[in-house]
Amino acid sequence: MADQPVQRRAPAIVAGLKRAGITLVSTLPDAWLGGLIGELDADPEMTLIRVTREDEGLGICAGAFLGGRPAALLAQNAGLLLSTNVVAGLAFHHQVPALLLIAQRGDAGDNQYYHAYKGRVTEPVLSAIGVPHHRVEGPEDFHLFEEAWMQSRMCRMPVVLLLTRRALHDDAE
Amino acid sequence: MLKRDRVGGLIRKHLTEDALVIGGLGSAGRTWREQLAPHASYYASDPMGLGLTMALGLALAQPSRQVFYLGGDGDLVMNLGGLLTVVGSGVRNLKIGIFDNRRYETGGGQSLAGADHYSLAGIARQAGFPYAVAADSDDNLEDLIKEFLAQPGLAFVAFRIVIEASPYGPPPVWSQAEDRAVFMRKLAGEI
Repeated sequence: MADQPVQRRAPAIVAGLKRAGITLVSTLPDAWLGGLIGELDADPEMTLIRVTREDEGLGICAGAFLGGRPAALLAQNAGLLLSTNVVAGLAFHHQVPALLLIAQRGDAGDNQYYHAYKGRVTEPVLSAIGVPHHRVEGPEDFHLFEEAWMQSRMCRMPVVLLLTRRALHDDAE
Repeated sequence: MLKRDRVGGLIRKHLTEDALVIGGLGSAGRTWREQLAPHASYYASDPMGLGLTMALGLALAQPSRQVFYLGGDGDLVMNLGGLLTVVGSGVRNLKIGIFDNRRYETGGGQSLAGADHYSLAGIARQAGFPYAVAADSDDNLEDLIKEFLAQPGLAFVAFRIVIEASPYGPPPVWSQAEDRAVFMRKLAGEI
């Protein structure tokens, strides 16, 4: 299984973001996300902001919401774990929504030892801090882009979509 | 060396009234709050390190408005890479003022890592800010602030601040979420 597989699902994911009204995305790359980042970068309707740490992207999401513009962060679960304090601060202190699109590295199908621990701890950490999260296993779950953003707005807190390898890539089918 | 209240007062005087303001946590935010400025203002509070990119997000969402961020140096260096993010975003409607006293004032006055070995304005210049200066004298401060705020694009000033105690005030009446709702409704013209 290649580590940087084809990402023909990217256009459908971008379409899902647009259905949710999200045209501002901050990102820090992961090998699973390269095609999606390229798709966002090439789309004139989307604004893609490259950050140096994932929590900067959460700041951008918060500021954009203050200004009336829905926004998302696209990153690996390592960045989500790094940003746990910020996610909790946005959820419970500022009470602002944000859509977090997170590559769920270390999940079934990941072939790198150094990602394995992230797959074990990401969901328990999100449960511990009380932030809603959903697994996106494949295109059958792409309705979640709109629904998770709605949940985020209604709850006034970030909602995390954990993108599995199959959700991002179709080369295994 | 400059006093926080003097800097805050001059910024209030020369910042256009339709500008939006993000105040950082600690003494920088308190200084702006004490100006009782008419500008729609929100305070980044905790988590520390988030203020700069919160201001960037607001500027991206409101491209027709000027956004001014007033933060502290400890807050800035917690996410110093944010300067690269700001420059890389291509945003033009953001002005950044940093209180540079090289210590964590609210936390008890402890020194920043590397204090007195760096120049924040130099770092910003090298990060690609088209305008990045240090202000350390009251003699030309008002002219410098006018020049800073008149820049057509991204601009950065590090204000060299004297050591002044800035203790916590009493518990605020309104929560962060309540303040956020007021800011957003003010921006929407509802109040």
